[in-house]
Amino acid sequence: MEELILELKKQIIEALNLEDITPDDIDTNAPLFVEGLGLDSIDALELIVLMEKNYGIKLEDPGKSKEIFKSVATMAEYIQKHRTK
Amino acid sequence: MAVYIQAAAQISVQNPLCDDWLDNPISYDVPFQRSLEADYKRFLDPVASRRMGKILKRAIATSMTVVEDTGIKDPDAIIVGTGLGCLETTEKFLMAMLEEGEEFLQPTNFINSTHNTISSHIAVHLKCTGYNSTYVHLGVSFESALLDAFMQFQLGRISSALVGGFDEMIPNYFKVLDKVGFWEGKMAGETAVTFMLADNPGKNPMACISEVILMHNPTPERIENAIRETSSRLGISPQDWITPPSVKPLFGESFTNHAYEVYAAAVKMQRGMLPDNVLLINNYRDSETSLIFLTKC
Amino acid sequence: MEKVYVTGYGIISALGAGTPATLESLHRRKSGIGPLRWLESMHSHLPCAEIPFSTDELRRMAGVPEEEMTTRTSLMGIIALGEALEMAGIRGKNSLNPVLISGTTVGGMENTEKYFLKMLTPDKTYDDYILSHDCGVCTQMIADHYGGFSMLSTLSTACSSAANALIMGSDMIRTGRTTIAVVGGSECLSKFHLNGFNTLKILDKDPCRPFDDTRAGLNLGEGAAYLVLESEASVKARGVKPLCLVAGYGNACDAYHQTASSPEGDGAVLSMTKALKEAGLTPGDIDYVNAHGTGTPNNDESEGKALMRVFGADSVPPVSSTKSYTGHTTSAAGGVESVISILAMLNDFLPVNLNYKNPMEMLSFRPVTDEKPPRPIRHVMTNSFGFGGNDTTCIFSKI
Repeated sequence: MEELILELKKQIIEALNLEDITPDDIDTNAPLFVEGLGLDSIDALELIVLMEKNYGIKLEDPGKSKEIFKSVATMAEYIQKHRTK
Repeated sequence: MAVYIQAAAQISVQNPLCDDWLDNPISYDVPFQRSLEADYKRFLDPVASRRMGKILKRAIATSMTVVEDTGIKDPDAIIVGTGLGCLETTEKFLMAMLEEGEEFLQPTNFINSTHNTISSHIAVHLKCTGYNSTYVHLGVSFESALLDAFMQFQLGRISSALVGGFDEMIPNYFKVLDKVGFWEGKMAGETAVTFMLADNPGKNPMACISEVILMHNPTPERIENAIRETSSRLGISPQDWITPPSVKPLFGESFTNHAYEVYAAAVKMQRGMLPDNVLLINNYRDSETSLIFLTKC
Repeated sequence: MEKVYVTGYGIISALGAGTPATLESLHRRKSGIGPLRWLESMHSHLPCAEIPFSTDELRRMAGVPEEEMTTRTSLMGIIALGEALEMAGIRGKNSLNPVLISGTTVGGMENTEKYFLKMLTPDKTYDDYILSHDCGVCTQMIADHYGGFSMLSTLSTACSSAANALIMGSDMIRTGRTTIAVVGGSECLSKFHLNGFNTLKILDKDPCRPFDDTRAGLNLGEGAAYLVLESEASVKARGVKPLCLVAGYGNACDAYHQTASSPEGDGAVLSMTKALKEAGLTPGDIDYVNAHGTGTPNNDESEGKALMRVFGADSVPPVSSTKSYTGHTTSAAGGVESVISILAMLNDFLPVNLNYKNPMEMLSFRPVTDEKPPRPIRHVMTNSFGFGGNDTTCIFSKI
């Protein structure tokens, strides 16, 4: 799990182009959206691409993805359960 | 009616956000030179700029500079001219689609590929809900934006306008245009120039815009007539207009590089380095022509 | 302020080429949305509203020789412009020197996406297509097909491009820069923007259902439409009977987010209010609103709330989105929907909002389901909103 979380943080930084932010700066349990990193709806779409491309997880409805994208921890949990690659 | 250029700022192959080029021009001997970047951290925090390509950062930096210079924080209009828009992100999306297929494409690259993303970014950044538009007409894209702003002043709808010309050039696009002989031996470059225009002079106006005219496939006679008519309306003899030597070789070729001509003329007029009446003529590939009449404030 | 008249218009969309075909489809409630026919894409499961003609057919219809480099966007523009010039009686009368202001965003991307990789190789066969890539070239191709245009410009404010072209053209008449301005836009479907919209997850897999509670996104369309605008002096001098009046228009920026509309539709309220003010009309004067109504959850809620704010929750006039017929013609939408609004006004009918069944709870009004207007249509409003919050509203009035 620790490994997956670190990998995921790196992927998020790359996908969202978060220059100057390191994996250590991202609190695993902190909210990704609005507070915390302050991400928005476009970032959510980027995370959907990330999930599909890297883990083979298809998330069609951006609305329903909110729970999954709550924090890095919730994302990692979902990935562990549903990954196909 | 006169429209005052209250401030102007540029990012280019010359030193950014200053007038260094006037005394210490940097010269290049290359076919294609990208702009020297400014320190964007002064204007944008990294999270806010995470989705911005170079052209957007330049647009925000030049816009913030003219806002700071004039104190006009909420211009009534934001109007942008760009020949090719956000070429770098457009290419990213296009190449990913062509090389990797129609899956896993990144939304950010699409969103930032539309030409109006520049003016809307400036609007979101300055929280300006006023008039907002974007012109994309070849080598007179910037002048189209300027003409629109000029008309909004004429119609009394606005008292201030932020007007910019922006283009970026990327190696692949440069290369293909080079293959068709587009550059004609001139150095390819990029453009980022923002002006703050107002219906009042402000503290230290640079120059006045007295008229903007665009023409398609004009004959020399039509151009002459337009100059004569405009001169008589402005009460200036047609012979009194001078056209200064072009600064385009200093800044490089770009769809909107005529914005540098206006910028340079305004800088020089403010310093008394040019006579009172300046006429800038742009002729893009013998099809689109613009006339900009600048006068001393 | 100087009056601006409409003396001609032309249109091509998934409903066919020309106003008679458009009018018939609207009356018969026949949508142009269907499976992809011409564009090659792996997203063929997404319904689109393509023009029912191949690019070769369009080339023949437009009369553009086979050897001439062109774009689908230009061909569509040439056809729509031809009808508009014809209707206004100015086709071939080049001494009138009109200006052409056209809106597009995709421009020549359909060629670039086909040939760009080849252009990057030493092979020179496809290089010239780079000169048809940018938006301005499409406007030149459309104008130069007929000749006589004294000035051209190209607008690109995403999905409000053509509506802003109408503003630019009207303002050129109002400032005495021209007596005739032809305005509108043209945009063909491209793999580029089909994929782009797909990444935003706003394309419905079924035909779109604007203002329906179950709406799940938009369908992309393609189209071109132009309007001939003319000053009062020019109308008199030519002795023509104008068709209607450009009563007013408003442009504002939502300045909220790159793609999302503000929840309460602030930019939309501003553009509608500005347009009403300039037209010298009160909200109660508007007899029909052709909404932007893309069918995305975000747009219809935000625009719906804006309509309630402008008109009052209990007095929103008949509203429909004709994107349920034409798909979302993106940059051309402002032109296509201006022509449809004018057709509705001049023929006194309300275009029915297709695929509507379930009311949206947060809205006080329901879209048009009956063609018969409750009162004669004298003033119509049309909204065009673009990414980045580029909101524009146009109002046309009967003479």
